[in-house]
Amino acid sequence: MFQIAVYGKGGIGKSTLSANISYSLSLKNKKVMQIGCDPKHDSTRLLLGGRAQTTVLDYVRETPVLRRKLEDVIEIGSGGVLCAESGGPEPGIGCAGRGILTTFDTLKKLGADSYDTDIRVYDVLGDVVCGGFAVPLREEYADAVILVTSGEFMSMYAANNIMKGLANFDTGKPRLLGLILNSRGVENEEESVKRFADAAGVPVIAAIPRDSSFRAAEAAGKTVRELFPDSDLSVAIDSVADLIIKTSEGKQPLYDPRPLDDDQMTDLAAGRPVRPGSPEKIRDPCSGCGRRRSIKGTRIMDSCAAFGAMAAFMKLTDWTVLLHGPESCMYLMEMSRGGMSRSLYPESAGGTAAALKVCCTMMDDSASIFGGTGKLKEKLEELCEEGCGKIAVVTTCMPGIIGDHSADAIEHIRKKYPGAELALIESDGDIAGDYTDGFRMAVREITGMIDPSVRPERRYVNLVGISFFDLQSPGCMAELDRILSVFGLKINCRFLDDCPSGDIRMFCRAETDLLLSGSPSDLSIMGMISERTGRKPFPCPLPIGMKDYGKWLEAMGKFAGMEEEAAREWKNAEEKYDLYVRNNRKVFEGKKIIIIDRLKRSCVWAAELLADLGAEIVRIGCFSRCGEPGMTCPERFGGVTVENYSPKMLEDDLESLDPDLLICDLLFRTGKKCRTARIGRSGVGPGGVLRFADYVGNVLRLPATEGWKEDGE
Amino acid sequence: MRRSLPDGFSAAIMAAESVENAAVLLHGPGGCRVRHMVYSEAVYSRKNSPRIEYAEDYFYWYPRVPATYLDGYDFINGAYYKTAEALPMVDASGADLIVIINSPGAGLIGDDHGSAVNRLGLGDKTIILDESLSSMPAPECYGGMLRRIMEHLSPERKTVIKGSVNLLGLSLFDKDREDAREELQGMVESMGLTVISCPGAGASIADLRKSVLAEYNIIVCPEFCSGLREYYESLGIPSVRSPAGAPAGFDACEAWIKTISEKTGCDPSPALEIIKKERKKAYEKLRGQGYRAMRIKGLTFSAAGLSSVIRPLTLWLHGYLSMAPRAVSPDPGSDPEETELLRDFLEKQGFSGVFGKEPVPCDAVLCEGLTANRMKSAGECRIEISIGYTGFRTDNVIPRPVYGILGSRYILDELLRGAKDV
Repeated sequence: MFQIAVYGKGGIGKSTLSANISYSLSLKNKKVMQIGCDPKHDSTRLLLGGRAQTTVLDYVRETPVLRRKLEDVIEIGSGGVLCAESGGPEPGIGCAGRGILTTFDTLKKLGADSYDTDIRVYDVLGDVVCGGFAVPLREEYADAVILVTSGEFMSMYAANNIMKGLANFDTGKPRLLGLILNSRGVENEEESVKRFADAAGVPVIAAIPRDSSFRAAEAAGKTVRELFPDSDLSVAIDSVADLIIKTSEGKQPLYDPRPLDDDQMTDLAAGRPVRPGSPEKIRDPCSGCGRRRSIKGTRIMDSCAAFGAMAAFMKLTDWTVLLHGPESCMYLMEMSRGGMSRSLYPESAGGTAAALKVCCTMMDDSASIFGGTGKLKEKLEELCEEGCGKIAVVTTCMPGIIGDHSADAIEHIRKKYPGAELALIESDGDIAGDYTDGFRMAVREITGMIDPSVRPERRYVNLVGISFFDLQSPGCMAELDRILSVFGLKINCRFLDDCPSGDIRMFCRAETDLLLSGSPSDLSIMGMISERTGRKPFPCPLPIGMKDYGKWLEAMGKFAGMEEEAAREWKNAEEKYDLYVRNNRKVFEGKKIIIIDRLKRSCVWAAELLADLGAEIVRIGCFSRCGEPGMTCPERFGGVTVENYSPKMLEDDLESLDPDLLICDLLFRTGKKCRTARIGRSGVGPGGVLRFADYVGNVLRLPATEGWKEDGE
Repeated sequence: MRRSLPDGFSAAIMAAESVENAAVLLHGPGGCRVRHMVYSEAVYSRKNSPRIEYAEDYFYWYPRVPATYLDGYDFINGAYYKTAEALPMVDASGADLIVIINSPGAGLIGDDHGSAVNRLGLGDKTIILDESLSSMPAPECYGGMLRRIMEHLSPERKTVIKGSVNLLGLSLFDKDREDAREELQGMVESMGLTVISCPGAGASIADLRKSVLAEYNIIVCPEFCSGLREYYESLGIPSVRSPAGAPAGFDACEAWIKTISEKTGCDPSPALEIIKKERKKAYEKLRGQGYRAMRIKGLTFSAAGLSSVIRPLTLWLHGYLSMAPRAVSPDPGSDPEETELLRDFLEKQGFSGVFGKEPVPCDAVLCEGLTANRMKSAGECRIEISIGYTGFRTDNVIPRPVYGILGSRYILDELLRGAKDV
């Protein structure tokens, strides 16, 4: 089967010509199929007596997969030409390009390839605006391409763009048959098109004059070739059909066009001689943007902004999260976030179950073509009817790419259900960034819930941070409670850990806000809170490691007016630490340890602890990723700290430094066997430090690897 | 609230990942990759991961489901060149078969992977899946993906190995899949048949090539092999499908064995004897539990899943344990015939308002783990029995699949354990 794509600017007459060519081919005993690829779906009308046929996309939208039949979307037109129309969304919504992809896929699945056809004609909207409309240019489809143009500049501009598209699908062999001039009666039309064709290095294969016969045939619902078989127009159409047949037989040359650059197009429009162009510049779609065309130039992210935004709102136990996107996004996000939440909190906590009220608009192929705003409205109404009064809508890539107007749906619901609290986070999957970016977007929205007029009360504090992971084990929480109890402090709000939105509203009841860490992420969350409330955080983040603990106690003692209590607690902690170090030194003494930090947690505290215990820290390796700055290390470890550490360096270090222990935050196999320990959750205060020391001490005395691992080697 | 389930996109990825030595190249953002890479590793661990050689930026420590890491810019400008860049890296990792799958977002930009594949000379080992699978039923796309792989491999049915079979319809989504496969395979082999392969449940490319030599295909779960079954039938391999549905619950297990015997002519008695012994043991246990076992009668349950699985389970819970259905909901992609039979059964037993209802508060919930666990956490049920799509880390050392004798024992155990709280 020979496949030819007829491209041209919208309204240039390519559908009329395609239908005429298909009919002419059928008269030459060719079995022809014509597929219209234009949302306005009028490609095959003249082959069907002026009648519009069911479009593939309408059919797909309305017919369940198992009930679809090829004969429902293929009709037999004049001359036995098999006719199909893609169709598409209403202007301004959805994604027509995706529609073309779906049409091709549907026809293939329904078995269109099984029809005995000699020639397939694709009639395609030529304003190539996205990859979808370029599908017929792909190698597996168009063996040849015809461009229809008039002498108008914009028409030639569109034809030039299609040539660029053709260059992007370079198959290594020429595919352009030539241009058809479909006259619009503009001045010097033939000459303009000839100049364009010459500059692009392609022939004009036919010139179709402006003729009232087209209108008469249109009115009769027929092609000119059928209604006026003896006309000059029919002769011209037949000549194109002949050329196509010759091409299909390999007897007609095809051309590799040289699309014109902007300067050349300006010459063409001005009627000047067209200057020579630079093909390489045109063929690079990234020219001028300065971007590296490489995966390595991409910001490789763990998770998308939609997941971050969803995770943030899932922490509000009385809110429902509606993910505007496909079901797979929903499933995987809920599975990882929800599963983790349930594993971190005891079942009796109860509150977490409410936080897991998540649902999805289930965007499918049809929604991506015809737009998903309607689905979003429907789902929001359904939730409001179910009694969900607080709903956060988080958008994924799909609505972002097709330009769904989600804000419209929100406004609609606000009017219909005035009591509903609604939030819209247009994270658009990864378009807005990664997990942290999405989390921040949601946090900005959530900080808006804080009531700044609430008066502070004595002895209440807030905890502020992007991840409460390190605090979520019972042991870590108990130690934090103990430390706070030294100063009689109670937690008012955990921002942002699982809590009802009422806690957020009452945020300002706390006297001060304790940052979980001094990381840029935590500081940025505090920054958003400060913007809303004018509050400043407590100067020292929650302490991990002994040094930080000392500083924190001093600061908190001053803040709470309890310096004596602070000094007493520090003395106790120091004594406990020193005693531990004395009693356990023999386990660690002389042990060579490598610490690697892949997740950017500061591990300096661990290095100091182990050095105090007599171990020799032979390397601190920090894997950098995504261009983030590495960690800073005190002078004590300056000589052994390496930033931008790599797996290769680790392999070398394992060989040359021969460590007794590798401490890392990922379990992996290395070429050399080495005892490994995890950093795990870093608990606050002396309890956290000593618990870690206990763990490492045990690992040093345990077998190098677990026995079960031997079974898999 | 509707349960969240994996869709066709995830199913296609998992189906391709189920083939040993095949690799999915995901044309999409890292966010789409990360959960699939963890999921596929969790449910079908391979020896090579995670491995230090994969610690470079591209693989980011995990060899599974490598991606092109699309970003916002790529959605506007297209990123076909990233496929060309990623393919050699995936090829160099030793994959014998590469399946390129578009993420839901990438599906909208229409990048042409074919030219990159052809330019790199990887046409023989690469399958391109262009269609949008978003929110499509997972089983249909799982079977469809396997069919595409078989069509690509296109092995020749030169001969027929007498007495050999394939087990179709097990998937990576099945909890404790390996244990279920071993048990079902063991029963089938006790009847004198030989199992060549289990496409979709960890078969290698060599297994798949050999699978066309089987005399019969034995269907475990019809939904998860739709498309694939027809492929084999087109080669002349008949499908053996039990009228009782999937082998879930003692009764359906027996029916499954009997059907295999009827169609293949082999002796069912060794397998039936195994089931009979297990039934006897279960009887002794239930009798021994006395008062607690008595409490099972009259308990209410909600079941949700594929029709071919929840129909036999509903019949079994109803008939064997005298439990009352409160909500029975077939998953999208359920077999229409099974669905109708299930509806009829419930109607005939007088539970007419039950069919098609998503799980409601009741004594026991049988559905995919995520929902069952959520309902238990929310106090909406006392007994959670995970029978559907498995989660990240839900495999057990003591096997708890839904199929076979193991599945029947697992369900009985959970009910007995939970009955004390009801």
